[in-house]
Amino acid sequence: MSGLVSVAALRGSRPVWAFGVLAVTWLAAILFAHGFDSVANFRYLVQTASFLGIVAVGQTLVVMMSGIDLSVSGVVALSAVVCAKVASGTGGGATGITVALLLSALVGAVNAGGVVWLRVPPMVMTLATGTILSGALLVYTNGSPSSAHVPLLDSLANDRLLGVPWAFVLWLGVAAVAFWLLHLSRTGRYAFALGAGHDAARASGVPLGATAFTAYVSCALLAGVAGLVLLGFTGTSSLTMGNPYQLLSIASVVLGGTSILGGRGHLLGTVGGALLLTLLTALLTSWNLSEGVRQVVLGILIIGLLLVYARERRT
Amino acid sequence: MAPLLSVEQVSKSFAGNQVLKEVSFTVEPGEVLALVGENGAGKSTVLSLVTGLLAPDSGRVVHDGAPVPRAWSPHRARAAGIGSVHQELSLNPHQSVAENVFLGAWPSRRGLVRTRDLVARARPLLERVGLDVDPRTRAGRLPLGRQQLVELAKALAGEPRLLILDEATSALDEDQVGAVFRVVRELRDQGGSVILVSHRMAELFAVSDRLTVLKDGAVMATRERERTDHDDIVRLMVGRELSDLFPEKAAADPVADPVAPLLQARDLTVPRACSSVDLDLVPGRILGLGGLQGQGQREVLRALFGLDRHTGQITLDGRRVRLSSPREAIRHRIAYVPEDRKTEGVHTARSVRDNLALPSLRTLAPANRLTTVSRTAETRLVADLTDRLRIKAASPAQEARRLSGGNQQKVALAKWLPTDPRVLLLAEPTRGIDIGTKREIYHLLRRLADDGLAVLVTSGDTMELVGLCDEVAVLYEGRVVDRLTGSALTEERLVRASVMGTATESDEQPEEQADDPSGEKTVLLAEELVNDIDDSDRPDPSGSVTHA
Repeated sequence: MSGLVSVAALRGSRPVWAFGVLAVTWLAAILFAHGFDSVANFRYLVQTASFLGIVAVGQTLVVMMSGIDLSVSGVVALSAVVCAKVASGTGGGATGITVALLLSALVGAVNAGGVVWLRVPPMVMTLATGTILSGALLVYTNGSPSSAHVPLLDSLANDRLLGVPWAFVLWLGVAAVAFWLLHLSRTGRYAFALGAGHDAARASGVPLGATAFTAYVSCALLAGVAGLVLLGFTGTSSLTMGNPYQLLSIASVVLGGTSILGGRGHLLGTVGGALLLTLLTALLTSWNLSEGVRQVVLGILIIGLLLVYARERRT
Repeated sequence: MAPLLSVEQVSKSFAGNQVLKEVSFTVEPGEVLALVGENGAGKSTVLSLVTGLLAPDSGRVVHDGAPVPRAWSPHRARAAGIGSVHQELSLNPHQSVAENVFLGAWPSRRGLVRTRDLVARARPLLERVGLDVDPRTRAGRLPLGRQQLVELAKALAGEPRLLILDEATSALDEDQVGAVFRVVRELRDQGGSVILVSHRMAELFAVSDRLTVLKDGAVMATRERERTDHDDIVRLMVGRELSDLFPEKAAADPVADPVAPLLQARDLTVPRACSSVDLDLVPGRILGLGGLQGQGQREVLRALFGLDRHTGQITLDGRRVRLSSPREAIRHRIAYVPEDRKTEGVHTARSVRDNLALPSLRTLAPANRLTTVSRTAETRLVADLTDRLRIKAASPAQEARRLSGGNQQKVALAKWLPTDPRVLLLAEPTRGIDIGTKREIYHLLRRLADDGLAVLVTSGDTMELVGLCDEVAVLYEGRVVDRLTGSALTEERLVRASVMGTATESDEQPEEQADDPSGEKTVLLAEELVNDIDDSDRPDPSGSVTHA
């Protein structure tokens, strides 16, 4: 695995920057902000970062092959709402989870199908499916989504393994599998090639359709998983519960050093990006800023960080 | 008289790799200077210093008697009267020719662009570069060669006193090159200056006053054109004679010793590009596709690789095959080295390693798409290929965009070798490549043919087709009009078939040309023909075709 981590390659690499900025920010938070020095706080941070992080890992797969998924907020809500409704009705928890994940994967397949076969630009295609999803959920729930107590999801979201939140363990597991998929497997090579140049990838025999399907379905599936964990965390579902994860998942990918145009970047950077964004949000909250001000400041911070280390290079 | 431009002792390094070593040269007013050198010799880099794309590490560029300011940029250079045209196109394909010509300087009134003015002002410029197109045509609809001429018109729109032509003629056919040279001479006669970069020696000698030879980032010599010749210049470039540029041709005589063709195309038709083309690709032989620019050569290759939709029959080893996607073509062990190497041939933003391994991932991760790619096997494959083709890269992790054009082309070719192809399709395999690498590629192609591959090459370079190929099929308006082989395969006959669009029956000159040894008539004729084509927009040869 010599090529996996080579010190020379890491210097000046944007994913490393993500972790560097994360470390500095965290240190500053511990030193100067109130309440960031406790284990409980640390635990809470990585737990909440997991929800965003799981979505962002999926988003990385799509962005790397020069796509984008703007339906993740819809899928997060879809998965939680459907699982809650099925579980609180006759189906039971296991059925609810299965149905939710199947539907999520289906959305991913529809996204991929639109992009590959109908050649709809990814941004338009996924935004459309996302919009359709929110509408369909409104109809499905009659505007009042149900709450549900699914023991498995409850413990997944709130319990700990040797003191580490299960949600964080799940996130790391998801990231590990995605790392292998993107950086070690043949499909990953195809994704990078596709992101680096569609025409050259096609002329080299890269299976365009299969690669896109893998990426979009994985991304939607992970958004579905995140929805389930959120359902376990809050015990209730809502139509808008996915909204914060839409743009933050993309911001995590880009702050993690992946090129928004695809073909360049590293999955582990996204993990750093998601942690960084969660930490910044928590910091802003701790300063008692109102929701509106918080969003403004967070947006400015994202732009600032992008300028520092994650600009697209000129060609 | 003071020189218009003088480059003084400039040096430049990229990541510790010195590409220019104290390069100096001057360009006088009313002079055409040719910059000659192999790829990677530093020609493009030194021109980037002049046009403001790059700044020198040391030394300086003096333009019009004053050193260029620190904030020199392409925009400022253009404003200061330096126009440039590069091999790579910078046109916006979705805008009209006129809009492209005046890009950024559209005549407007109260914020609205005045299209009529724009078109009217574009006309004389297009005329000047010998381009007979409606200025309202979308630039992307023009064939590559004509787009290049639009680039020239765009440079002229800035009314340059110094015009830089960096490989600007490599996509042009001979008439178009003639038009470019008319502009060059005109500019010179008006006291302007031109810097010319080309790999075609004949072009350099046709218009330049002096030639400056670069080698490995240093100036070898500057020669007056009258006091030098091709061999002298080539010797300065590479330090070796030109005689072994092309390898020996296939020994077997196809008439006496027929070999069954590996790939047969019958009635191959690509809408709006070529019609009823019949080709036989034979193992061990190199077949060329010749003709003027844009007569369907490119589309024939793309069809055979499954990139362009086509009709007609293609048989491989006697069996009918459908080539509807590159993946299918690759499955049939057909490999393709495209004309546009930076967008199709290689991934410029990916490493040499990734590029070389991409078509072979199936063998490097054999079980299925989720299999881990074997790092050791990959390293071995990459080392083997870089070694075998002598690809000059700092390391396998170097991005392909940092390689010289010749090495990029080697990568685009090398990546197919591990897939064990039986048919090799190459479009313009040596365009814009230095002579040393050209030679290497020619010899490699011949070795591959000797190993039993069937090779099909398109080229706009007549000498290349004649020197390399065993047989050349000449395309004209999408149809094969002549097939030249053996002693009939000469530059003269190839050019004649290309411009006349008919088969040339014998080696003898037609009567009326017998006392015209300069060949001027041929050129005139070619101009007329090209004008004919211009008038009828793009020919649509598919109209009269029936196919199975």
